[in-house]
Amino acid sequence: MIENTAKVHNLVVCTLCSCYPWAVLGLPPVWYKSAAYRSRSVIDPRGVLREFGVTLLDDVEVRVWDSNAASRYLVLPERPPGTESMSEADLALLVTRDAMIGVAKVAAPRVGGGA
Amino acid sequence: MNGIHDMGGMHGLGEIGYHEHAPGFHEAWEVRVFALVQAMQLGGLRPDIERIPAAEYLRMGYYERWYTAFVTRLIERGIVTRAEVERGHSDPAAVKATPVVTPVVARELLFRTPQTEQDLALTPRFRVGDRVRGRNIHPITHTRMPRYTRGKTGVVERDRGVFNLPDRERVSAEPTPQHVYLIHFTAHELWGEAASAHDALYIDMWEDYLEPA
Repeated sequence: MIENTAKVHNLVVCTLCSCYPWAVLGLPPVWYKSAAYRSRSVIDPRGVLREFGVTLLDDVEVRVWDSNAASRYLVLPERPPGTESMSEADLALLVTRDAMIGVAKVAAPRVGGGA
Repeated sequence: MNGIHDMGGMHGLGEIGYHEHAPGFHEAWEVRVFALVQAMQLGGLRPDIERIPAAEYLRMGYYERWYTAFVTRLIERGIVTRAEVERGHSDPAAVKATPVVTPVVARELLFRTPQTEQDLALTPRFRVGDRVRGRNIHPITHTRMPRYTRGKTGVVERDRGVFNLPDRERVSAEPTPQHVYLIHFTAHELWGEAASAHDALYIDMWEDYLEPA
């Protein structure tokens, strides 16, 4: 488990094939197995993240994890602002597969949606 | 091997094609290939996938590669013959493999976390904090060392424990257990000054991939 914070953003890829935490996240999505994602994520993670709609400030450290060996990685997404009163169970519902690969951030629930 | 599969850092390989709800399978035969590969338990197909010629590899879809590698493996293991595959039906005189798993067992195998770590007390060659360099090696068979790490200097972040060196699995009947280390490379070291000064890459590397720096 690798943790995203305000200063660190983690991104998971498998450049050699398609290593992925199956047992937890299910089969990898098609784009995760694409030649473009595998080749570009290591050399241009910020560009790849922008294509996924995630733009990071220059002072955020991007850590790319090439899962080529026995370890499989899950990203623990950064807690979105405005969720301080939410329970662990409610927070878990906000977490997406993409956020656990590191290509998305977790968004706070829309205002008016309860809480 | 320096194959097309070792594509980390390459340019020009098309679009990522992101769809939030992309299905895992596109065709019914892909599901069958997936199930066959799980059920037959022939070991990892990566070395066979990597032997697919580069132009074919890029043209093929993901499960087409699996199928190609799977058939290669079946033939090499003597379970089917090339002639049977090409004819599309079995030779009555051919050797048959007994199915090794039932659907219940197959399901358990699918969701079982493989235990690949070896419980061996081998003396590690490197320690956390050591500066190490990816060796300039170009094995012509399977390796889990991406070429973008070769000749690059990083720091040992963690000792993962002892695992079998995959490079030797098809070469030697004897396992080759050795320490695996999580290595931290700066983006500058791997990709030059144009990369962000804040960014980094983490990768597990077997001891044979590394030398002191």
